Amino acid sequence: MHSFGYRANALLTFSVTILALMCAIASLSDNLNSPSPTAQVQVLNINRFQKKTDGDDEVSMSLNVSANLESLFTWNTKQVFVFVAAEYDTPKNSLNQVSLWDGIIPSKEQAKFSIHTTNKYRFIDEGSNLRGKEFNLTMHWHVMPKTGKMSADKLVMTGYRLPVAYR
Amino acid sequence: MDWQGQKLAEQLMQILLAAFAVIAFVIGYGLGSFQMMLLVYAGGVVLTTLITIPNWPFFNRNPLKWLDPSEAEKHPKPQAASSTSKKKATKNGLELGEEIVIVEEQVVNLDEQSMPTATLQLKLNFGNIHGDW
Repeated sequence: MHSFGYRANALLTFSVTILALMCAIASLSDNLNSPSPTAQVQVLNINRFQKKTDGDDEVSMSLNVSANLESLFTWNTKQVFVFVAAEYDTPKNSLNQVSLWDGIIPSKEQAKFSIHTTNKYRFIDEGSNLRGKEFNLTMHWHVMPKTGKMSADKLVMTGYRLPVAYR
Repeated sequence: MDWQGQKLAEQLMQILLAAFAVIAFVIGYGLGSFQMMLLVYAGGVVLTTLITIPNWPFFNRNPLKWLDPSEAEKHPKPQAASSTSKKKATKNGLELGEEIVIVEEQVVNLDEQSMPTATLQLKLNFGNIHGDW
């Protein structure tokens, strides 16, 4: 504390240390939040269901994705990344996950939504196993904080089935 | 800034920053706004900078007592030559009285030149220590 420079340095380092401490406590305060999200996905129509020239199956479908993710937001949330994936098994792989749609929710006001869309990403199988296949649609969400640890969770919706024949 | 002032400045800085951190967190959490917390804290840091870093007069209430420059000039530092003995080799037949006189003069010289500054310096370095102990 002898000179101007000493005091300025001490103040700077102490203030930054205290700031780091505040951010850590803010991140810990997220654990106090117990979220209760709801979600629903409807398959409106199978638009295309063909076997490609390289032998793999491809599906194009129209979906209605609706969810209420407002309880995920805290004061320390920057955005929520949400995506819908189709899950099924084949003789070759015990679990296949194909992402069909995703989105970024920047604020709590936009966390309650209902979207009518075709699948954003192509639903292509590793092979030709999709005829009559039963699959789950799972909604995953990643809560990205302003400071601290990211958390992720999912909601599994079962009971979807692809048609038996190509169309 | 004197010693007491430096201690005061350091304490003030730590207390102010800690207090502003708590206030900022409570306000931010209460309003549910991360940005408010950061803004209040930034304001607190700026305020603390203005209070602690410049050399305000209230930090200098116990100033150090430096030796006055005109006083120092009266007592120049003792030269190394003055303490070398000017004793002449004892010669047979000289009166012993002469030599004694010379030694006394040297002693007197030491008193006038080096002793006053030495006592002054002692007083400065050790604050209020008196010779009584």
